[in-house]
Amino acid sequence: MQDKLKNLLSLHPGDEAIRQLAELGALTADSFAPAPIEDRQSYMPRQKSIGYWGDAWRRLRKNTVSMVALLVIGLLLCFAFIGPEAIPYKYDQQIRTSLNLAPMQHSEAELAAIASGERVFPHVFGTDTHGRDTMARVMVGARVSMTIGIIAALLVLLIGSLYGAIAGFFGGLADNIMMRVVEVISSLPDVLVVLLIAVSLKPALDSFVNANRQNALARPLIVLGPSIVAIFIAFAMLYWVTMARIIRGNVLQLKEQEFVLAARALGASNARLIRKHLLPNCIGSMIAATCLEIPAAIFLESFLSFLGVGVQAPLTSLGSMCSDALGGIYTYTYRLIIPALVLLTLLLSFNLFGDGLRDALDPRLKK
Amino acid sequence: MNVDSGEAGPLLSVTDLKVSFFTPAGEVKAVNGISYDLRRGEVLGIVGESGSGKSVEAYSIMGLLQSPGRVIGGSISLGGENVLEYGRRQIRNMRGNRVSMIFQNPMTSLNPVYTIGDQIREALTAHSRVSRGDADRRAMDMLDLVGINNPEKRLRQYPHELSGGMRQRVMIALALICEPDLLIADEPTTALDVTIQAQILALMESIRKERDMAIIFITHNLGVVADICTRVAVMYAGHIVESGPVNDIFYAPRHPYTLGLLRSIPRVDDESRERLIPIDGTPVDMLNPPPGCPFAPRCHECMNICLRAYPPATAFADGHAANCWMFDRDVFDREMAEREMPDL
Amino acid sequence: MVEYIIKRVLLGLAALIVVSALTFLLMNLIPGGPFLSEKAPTAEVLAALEAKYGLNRPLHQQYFTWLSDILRGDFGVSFKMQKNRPVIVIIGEMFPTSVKVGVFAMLWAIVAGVSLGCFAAYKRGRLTDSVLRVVTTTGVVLPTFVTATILLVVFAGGIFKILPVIVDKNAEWYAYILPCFTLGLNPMCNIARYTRSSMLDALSQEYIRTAYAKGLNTAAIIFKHALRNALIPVISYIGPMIAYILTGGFVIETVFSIPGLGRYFVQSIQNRDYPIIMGTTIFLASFVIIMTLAVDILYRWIDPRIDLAKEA
Repeated sequence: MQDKLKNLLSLHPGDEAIRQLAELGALTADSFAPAPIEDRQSYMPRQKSIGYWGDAWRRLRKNTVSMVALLVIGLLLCFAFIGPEAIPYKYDQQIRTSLNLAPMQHSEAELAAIASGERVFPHVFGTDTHGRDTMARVMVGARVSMTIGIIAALLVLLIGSLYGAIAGFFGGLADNIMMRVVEVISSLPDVLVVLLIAVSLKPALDSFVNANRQNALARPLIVLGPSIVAIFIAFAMLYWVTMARIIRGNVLQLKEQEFVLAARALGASNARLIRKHLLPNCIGSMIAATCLEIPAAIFLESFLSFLGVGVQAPLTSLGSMCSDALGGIYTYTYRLIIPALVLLTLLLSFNLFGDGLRDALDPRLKK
Repeated sequence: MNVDSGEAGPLLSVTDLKVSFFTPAGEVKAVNGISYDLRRGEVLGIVGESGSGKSVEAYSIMGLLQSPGRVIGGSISLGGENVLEYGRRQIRNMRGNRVSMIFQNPMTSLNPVYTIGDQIREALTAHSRVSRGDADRRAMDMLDLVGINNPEKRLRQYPHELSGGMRQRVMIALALICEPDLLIADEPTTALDVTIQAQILALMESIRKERDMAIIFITHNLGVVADICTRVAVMYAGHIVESGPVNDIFYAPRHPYTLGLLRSIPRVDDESRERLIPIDGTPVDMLNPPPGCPFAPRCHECMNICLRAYPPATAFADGHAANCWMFDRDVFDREMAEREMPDL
Repeated sequence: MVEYIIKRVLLGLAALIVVSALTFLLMNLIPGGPFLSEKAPTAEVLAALEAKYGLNRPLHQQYFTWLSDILRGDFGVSFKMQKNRPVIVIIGEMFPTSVKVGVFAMLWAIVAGVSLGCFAAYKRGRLTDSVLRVVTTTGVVLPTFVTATILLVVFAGGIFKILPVIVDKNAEWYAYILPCFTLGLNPMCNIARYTRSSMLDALSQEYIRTAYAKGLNTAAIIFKHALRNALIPVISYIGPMIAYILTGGFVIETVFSIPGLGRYFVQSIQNRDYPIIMGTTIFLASFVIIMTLAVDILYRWIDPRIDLAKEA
């Protein structure tokens, strides 16, 4: 009917078309009756409204790169946290009979065992000079790197959001002073400061640990080693400034809006305002910024490990494995390639996912 | 008014122009089959609310549509040649030379890192071989014409050293330096103060008279239209719903939308103390345009047919035309009356 | 503008004080203080030494003495690697080599990064753009030690053997190709990404539409109107880049055995030669802070839009 109308109208412009249409019965008296109100209301397809999270999730899902990155992150998490339990080798277990094996190679002892009908789990990535299984070490290294990244990012989240929210919320002189501090900190060369802390913390930490062997505080310090502690200190000292800036900007923007004024007029306390109104509105940008801090921390840890102030043996990380591989780099190149590839995948997927998350959660940032 | 300069055909003839934007969410029909003619010396005002397709239509004349926008039908004929069939070089030759454009925001329409002189000279040298001295002289003459004092000094200044009104005058100078046949002004006064608005309008009017060029004036401000235009086309959701001489549109509007627009502007000289009447509702979603008249849901006269098919144009005197089923209702009623009384 | 420069200089000074105070505090944290060596001195000797160098005075007094020493160029002496040689002399010997490598790395990073960024912006949304985006993102997250080692294995040691493995003092110019390339790779990718987005930003500005409406050709629009505006924000990346190049130099010089300050610094870390570590850190940190300050002021100075923003 509509097509017919359209065709006729284009064929016979003007009054003639109307006469023709009337003749054909396409136009009736009913056509010119006032339209019922329901028809008028249902005429325009109403846009269904989606909530903030639904909208963000829809945007994120459309971003193929981010979804692939998310999948890779999931796989890496399994690799790092379930993997070490699933294979029969321990990361610090030295098998004297299996030194310097190439990937998938079996030692003579293992070959003998296989010949006698035993099932031997292969060294998928080979073993190192001490006979330790490389795959087990890569798994534990990835676990260490990811744990460092996540803890450092959470530290940044905690300090940065508190600082930023307080500065933005109180404004005025407090904000002015607090933001000058942020500016000074952000102009410090971060890597140098971290290196400095890591290096000079080592002897201090060693002597502390030697003096208090039984102390409850000493145990985690022994396990973590000075460089990881340094990374945490550095993130607590330096890296929260970006987060603080983001949160402060958000808070300043939100502060001007009516609902905050209304809540204030109703007698809400400042703490309640921050908790109930401001933080929930910043949560999107907080999540995205936190996600991007994870690869930054991992990157920093691998850099320190490479320079020799990394995690202490027997614990390992991807960076220290790369560093260890330099010894026999021409003969055992794969010992560098394998942890480097895992590290690269880790950094790349966190970065790409973080970018996608930022675009999805904070559409204002996206052009 | 000097409307007919004795030339044969119209300067610009737009026929059934259709422009769509192919967005990830689907095809947005921004311009949905519009037609009009424009002769030398005429000033056509294109009026509509934002999103009605008035700017998109103007950009397609200049070939300035940005992807994902594309002309998907119709023709634009400039001096007898179809602009849509032009190659790259021909389009470049036309832009700034035969057809020029000025934009809404003079603050951002000039490049901040080049001087005024650089930017005006560039428009000239893009189309003709002129020496630097000649270009400077013509640029200064042009600045003088658009009412900028001390042009020699201005040529060496950067855009941010000039006020908004000054910058819009520079934009006009830039557009007119190659003496175009057609000037397209896309909301040229919207971003300016009211007093500056009036000056800019007067300037455009005097230059039009002097050069006998045609102007397409795009605006959502009906007051501006009354000041400067000879003819008016009212756009709604990608359609021209009504067009005609400026007086007819103002004093005898036919389309309910035009009526609504006129009722919603305040009038200083109105003695009747009538209330302003806003147009109810919001414009249609251009992503899924309904099959019938896009104004129907906001229209007080809405009929069943309005929801089903787009109305044909009904012509009145002096090239005044409107697309609304109301006028066809009259035709239909007459037809029915004739049938019922065949003997008479 | 003057106000801005004063503000930036004050902030820079504050940053320098923070760095120096931090260095000083951490130095005091090291057990044994600055006289630590393989052979632990007896208690009397230590007390005599502490009295001689004023280590028994309050901490803040020590800090000011130390700071005035630093300002006079007295960074202390190395106690392990080049025993008793002043740190500042060692820095003076080593730093020029690092600067040479760093400058060439920066040059290629800027030239290639800007070109790639423009190219990607020009091809936006197409396959080339997507490929470039993946490549540059990879380049940004790729740790320098991985790139350096793999390139070394491929081109110098293992597979092709066309470039020397060790870049020492007598090395030919082409020995520097690999180190400079590797060092510039990450900044290059960063610059490409910055340029792409600021180029796209510039291309979407209204003055670009004006340029098209004038009838200019595409080359004039991209190179004359867009690029000049697009490059201004890219300049602000040069500060962080200097910092990156310096710290990246630690790795590059170690991997390629270049006798620069970076490699020496890493060796001093491994040998726990604290005066060198402290001296080099505060030297490099000050260098970075001052260069960043200079770049930021330069950036404000050449950007005419700053005035525009103030007006609006």
